Amino acid sequence: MPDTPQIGPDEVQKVARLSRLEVRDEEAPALAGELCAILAFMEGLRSVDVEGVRPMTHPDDEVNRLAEDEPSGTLSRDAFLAMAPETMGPFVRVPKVIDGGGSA
Amino acid sequence: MKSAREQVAEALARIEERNGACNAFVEVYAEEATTRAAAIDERVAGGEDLPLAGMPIAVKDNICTKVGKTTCASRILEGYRSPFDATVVGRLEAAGAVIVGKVNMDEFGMGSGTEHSVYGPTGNPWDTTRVAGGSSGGSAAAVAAGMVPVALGTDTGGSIRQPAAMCGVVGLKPTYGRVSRYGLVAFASSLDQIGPLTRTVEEAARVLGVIAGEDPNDATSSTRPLHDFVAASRETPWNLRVGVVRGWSSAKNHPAVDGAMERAKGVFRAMGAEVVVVDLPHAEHAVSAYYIVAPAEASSNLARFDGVRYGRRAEVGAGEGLEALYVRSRSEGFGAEVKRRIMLGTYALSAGHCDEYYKTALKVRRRIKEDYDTALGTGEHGEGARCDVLLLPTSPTPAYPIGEKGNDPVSEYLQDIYTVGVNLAGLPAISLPCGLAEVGGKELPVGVQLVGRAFDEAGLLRAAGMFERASGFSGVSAPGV
Repeated sequence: MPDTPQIGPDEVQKVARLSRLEVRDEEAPALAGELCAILAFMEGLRSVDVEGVRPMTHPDDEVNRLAEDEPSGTLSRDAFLAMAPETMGPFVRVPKVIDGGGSA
Repeated sequence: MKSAREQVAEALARIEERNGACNAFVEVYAEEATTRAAAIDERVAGGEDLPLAGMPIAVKDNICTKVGKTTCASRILEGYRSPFDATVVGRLEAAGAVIVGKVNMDEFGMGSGTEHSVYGPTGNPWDTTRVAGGSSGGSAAAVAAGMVPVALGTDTGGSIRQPAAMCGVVGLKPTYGRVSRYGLVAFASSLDQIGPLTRTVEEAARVLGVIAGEDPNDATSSTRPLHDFVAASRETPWNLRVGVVRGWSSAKNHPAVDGAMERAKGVFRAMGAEVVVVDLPHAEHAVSAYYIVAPAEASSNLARFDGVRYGRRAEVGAGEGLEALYVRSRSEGFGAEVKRRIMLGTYALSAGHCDEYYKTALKVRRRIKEDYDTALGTGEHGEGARCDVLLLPTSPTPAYPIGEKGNDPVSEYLQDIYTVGVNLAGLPAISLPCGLAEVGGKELPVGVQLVGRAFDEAGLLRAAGMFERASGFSGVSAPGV
């Protein structure tokens, strides 16, 4: 880890873009300060000897067993469409994605 | 034995009378609950044996129910109606329980005081100017105020146990994998567990027995056998070995919490338990590791909220595209703490920082788990203190005033210092009432926590039941209840 985490307003904007969140310019310095304070608190992790330790992603080794390959019931298309904010026929409607539809 | 209709009517009357003061319920299903209660009475009259017949239950707002809304106390799920019931809800209803409403929480489970909620904060029934704890603060307050005997909560880093301690009720976080999470809106998938908040250990055991067990709809639910948890909670003859966790310098306890720990040790000694001191040398790093791992997982899980398929969609102009829809829906829909954690997690996973933060945290996580294994005698070589349970505070402070943490995230995160290690290690733990302390001119409850071996909820509940009977601390009602 770097000696002291340095997150400035530019880094905040970069992380915000990756997070698909909008941070107004006037909010960025305060947010940078908060994130720096949190990361500074985490500096203590550096003192732990983790040489040769396997990363632990899950508490239990039993996870992700496979189900039997048998068909079973599922929700109807109508049930899913009923949740969508905007639909068109059997589809979920979104703004145009090509022809000036943004950078997604 | 009261009928289902009587139990539900009583709960609804108490909600009507008491919810205004503490804002625990965000929705009440009076009509549906009354109809269901009548149906249960008929089934019981027809000879059916339902283990939870007529029991009114409150459900945390991040657990899907077909009845009413499921919003995670977030604007982004404003008005969201789930097309299905979570497995735990289905199992409770099949056992005769009646869902009477949804209860408040920190948005998506991210908080320690139920202050980060689109519905406003939940007040503690013991002193409504103080927090109920979080994130399952609505669940704890609903039980503590006597509105319902049982509420479901969820615990990612202490969110069942800490509010239980602050409200003077029992809160059980089962082993990772013990209870299906199908229908729980995911916060951090390697940590989340559903569990009950109740007035007594036996009630917690009864509810666990109904909701626990393998579920084909959740591949992380365990196939390990279940035990008779209620019988375990009533057992007495046992040579209990209790490990008292040696404190660490970064943990600054309120004197009321130290007092509760002394009382708890005294209770165990008086019942003939062997009390030994154990070390969890890496546990003081649990908060740091947790606040990397949990936000990292959250940043991934919460990517699904984009205003497209469900939830709240922001308005975009004619010239704007899909990207603007995502960004605006998320920016308008998530609260400040959720955004902070998404960004923290995104940063910890981003190119150039993943190894130094995320991978380091996962390695420290294993060190923490090894500490618990050693203390509980479940390590690879069976070495260590071989304690049946570990005793530690649930929270470093009793309930604090609403608004006190303000915009100081680190101070709020430190509320979780005694609870997050258990989630990182995947162990079961229970918070038990351990007396009252006068704080700010009012009596407030203080809790202590017992931690058990993985999938040994039976042993944990046995120790908890013994403690409860010997101490007499459970079932103490909040004033005015």
